[in-house]
Amino acid sequence: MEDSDEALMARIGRGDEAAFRALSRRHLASVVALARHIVRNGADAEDIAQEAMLRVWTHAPRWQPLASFRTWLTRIVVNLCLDRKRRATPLPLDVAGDPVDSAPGAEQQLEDIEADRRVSAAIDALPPRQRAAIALTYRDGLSNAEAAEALGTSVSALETLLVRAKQKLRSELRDDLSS
Amino acid sequence: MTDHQKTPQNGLDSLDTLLQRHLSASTPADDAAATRIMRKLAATPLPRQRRNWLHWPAILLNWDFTPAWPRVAVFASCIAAGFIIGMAGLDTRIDEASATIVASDIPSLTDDVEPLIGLRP
Repeated sequence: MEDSDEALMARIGRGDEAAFRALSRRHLASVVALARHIVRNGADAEDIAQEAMLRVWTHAPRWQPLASFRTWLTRIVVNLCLDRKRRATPLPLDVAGDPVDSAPGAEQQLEDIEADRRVSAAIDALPPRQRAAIALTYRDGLSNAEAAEALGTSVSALETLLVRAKQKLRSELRDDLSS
Repeated sequence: MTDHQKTPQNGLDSLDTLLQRHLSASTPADDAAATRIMRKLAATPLPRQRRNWLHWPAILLNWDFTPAWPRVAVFASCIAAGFIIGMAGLDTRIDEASATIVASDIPSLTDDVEPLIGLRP
């Protein structure tokens, strides 16, 4: 039976590197994906994920299990992403997709890739905090309260972020939504 | 289920579905990045952990500072020897120490007038 995140954190707090590796292995892919959806840049997302895990290691002795580890980690990642967005504007994520072959259904595949690119571009155009709110809600499936805590804001402020983000996305993706 | 999904509005459902489909798709690039980061973390020594200053009293309290009885006996003997030497002086034999104390005129030390300045102690 695998140790819970909280049990691993208790061991990490005592300097257990094996526990840190186990916890990193469990969460890293998800952390990279969340960071990539917020900063829209693969290289930056990788740096942020590494930095986030190192912060988990350095702050583990002072960590108190008041909230779930997952929420705490999400908050670290979101803060690092927003800090990086404040410092520099990275290049947009390149959504290349898979090469299209000439087999039946290739046209549908091409349309899907094109639709995916439009959604990606619409999300790219959002301000960082709105993008983070969208990523936390739709990618991680957090409740409004959890997403608000991860963003360090109130639930009503998060709802405002979501409403504004959705308004923009709905106007940008009008064609995709009507079809 | 998240809160926003409980109150669907006009056009919201299709947008929700579109966003969920787009954002939840995991890419092999994320797994590859995770593997690279794991390799980097394993290759370099981890930084020093930041410990709360409250941690140090906890360490001290965990240590066994309770003295063993032989040490208590030695400590008590040292106190007794210090008291006797302090009262009698180093130039007095141990069997004369009590006589010295008894013989000394303690009231004269406390009650007599100071010979130089004429004040009482």
